[in-house]
Amino acid sequence: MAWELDADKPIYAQLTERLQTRIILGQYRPGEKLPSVRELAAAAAVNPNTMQKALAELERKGIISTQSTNGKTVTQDLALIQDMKRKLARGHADAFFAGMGELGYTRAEALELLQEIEGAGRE
Amino acid sequence: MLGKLMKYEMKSTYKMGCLVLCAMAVITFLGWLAFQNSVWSEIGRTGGRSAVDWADFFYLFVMMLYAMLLVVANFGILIYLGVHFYRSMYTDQGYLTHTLPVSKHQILVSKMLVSGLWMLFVMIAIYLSLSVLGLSLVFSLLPDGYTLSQAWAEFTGGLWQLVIEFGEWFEFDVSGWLISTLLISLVTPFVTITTLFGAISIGQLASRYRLFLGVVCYIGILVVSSLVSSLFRSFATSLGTYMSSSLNIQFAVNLLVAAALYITSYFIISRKLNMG
Amino acid sequence: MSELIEIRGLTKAYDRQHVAVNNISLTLPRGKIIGLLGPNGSGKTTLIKMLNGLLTPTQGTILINGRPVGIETKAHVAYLPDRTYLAGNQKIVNILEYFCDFYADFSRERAIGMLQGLGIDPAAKMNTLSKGTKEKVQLILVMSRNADLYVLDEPIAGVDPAARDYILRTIVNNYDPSATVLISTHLIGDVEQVLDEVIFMRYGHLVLYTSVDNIREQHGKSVDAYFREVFAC
Repeated sequence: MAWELDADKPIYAQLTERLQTRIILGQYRPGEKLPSVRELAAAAAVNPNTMQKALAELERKGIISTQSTNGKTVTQDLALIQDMKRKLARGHADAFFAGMGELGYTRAEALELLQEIEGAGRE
Repeated sequence: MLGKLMKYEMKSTYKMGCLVLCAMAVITFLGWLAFQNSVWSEIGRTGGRSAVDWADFFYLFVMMLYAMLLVVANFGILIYLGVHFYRSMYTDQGYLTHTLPVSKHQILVSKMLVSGLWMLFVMIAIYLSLSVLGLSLVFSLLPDGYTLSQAWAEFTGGLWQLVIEFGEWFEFDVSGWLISTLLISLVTPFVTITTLFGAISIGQLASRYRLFLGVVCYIGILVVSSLVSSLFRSFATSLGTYMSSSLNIQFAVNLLVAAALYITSYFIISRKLNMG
Repeated sequence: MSELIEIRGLTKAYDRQHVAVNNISLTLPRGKIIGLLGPNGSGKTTLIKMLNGLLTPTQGTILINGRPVGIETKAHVAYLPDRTYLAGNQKIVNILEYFCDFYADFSRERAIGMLQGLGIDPAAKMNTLSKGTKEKVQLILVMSRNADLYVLDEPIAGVDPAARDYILRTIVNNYDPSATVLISTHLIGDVEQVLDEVIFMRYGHLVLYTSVDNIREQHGKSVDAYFREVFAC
């Protein structure tokens, strides 16, 4: 039940990404109120201070905001959410190209491989 | 907090305490039954050995058994209280005891008062038991023609006369002696318990066989304090002083030893506590 | 608000050869979950016992909430030792009453709630429970107190993974920004996610005191992995 987290990266950064993913996937919809810090921390089995840090990061980016005294709300700004989605996707893509680069592929070769896989998938 | 500590100490010891007291009541009752037997009144009547030998032997055996059981009850409760003290102070349970928000004095005093109280109850029960049996023996040995109240009046009157004459003869204060004896009897159970707990605490300083060493230490202390009080006793001059001071000296020595051991216990649980 | 725990020059020496805790100075804040980590014989248990007044220091001072260790601090420190400290023949309800009587900050409702949540019958006697259940009961008793400092000595050792989850979740759920939880354990990997900061000890000395995120950022590895590196034989 606890969120699976990488052991060698800072926890709060991973929590930030997880929360962003949930927002993108609509698990927390625009304008919806998030569970409390304590609830999120307990669900993830992490330290509440660390969860608080992740939430603060999201708030800094404008993805969530503190509307009332009892919690944080997801922004209604759909464009912002789309932008966040793009940025995360871009991050995955960059990681892919970096990994391929380590194997000696150029970007063009890497793209070729992708198309090959995609074509094979269609059959 | 002291009251609360005593309340829980009582809660954890009352089952054994009541068990011992009940056992003593049962023993006393059985002894009383044994004395109801006609063999005794026969002896009283004839004053001789007209009863059958094996019956005599059997009732002698019963008396010995009775005496033994009383002694066992007294030791039993002492041992139980000692073990209970050891468990709650110096085994894993000590983790709870010593992290309570109470002072070390409160911990020690609460245990000493409650355990001492049980010792006192058992002591009173022993005296009651002996009195009941003594009375029933007297009653069954009564020659015919005597009622109990007559015998009682004669007995107590004669006894009191004897005691007063004795006092005048040997120059000692009878009523003073009675009062001091009573007080000493009431305080001695607490002194005994404090001494036992102190010895157990000393035993705790060792690294192994702690409880065993505590018991050994207790026996050693008893031996030493007896020696010390007989030493003092040998300095008594007239016979009168001898009688009143032997009990007082023994008590004074025991009291001092108990006080020293209380201080020792306190010191040990404050500075030398080494749980686990 | 001043710091919760101030330790200065703390030493516990049994004799010249055996120094369990060697001149440790440390300041611990409120509102953190801190791991006390170190190999066997590092002095963790000795330190914990001194925090709880079960051992007297040879030198140095400990201040909890600005007060030296004593009756005052014991009323605000909740301790979970790594052994069964409750008498076997006692019923859980009686133990609850005991805690209510001695600890003003004990919440009976919270305890009952947690016991019911686990399906533990409060009328049961301790010696009828399995080892794992006994440990959960002891944890519940500690967590039902509104203490300033919770000291947990190996709370998840010898417990199955589901119970481990429960225990860690309970610790997190109980979190209070004015209180601090000190967890001493050798199972670092299981506990890491829940910790804010960690203290490394070895041979009675303080080796390191830092945050979990610091270690992960600076060394690119988990606290568990970093610990193995630091303490590799």
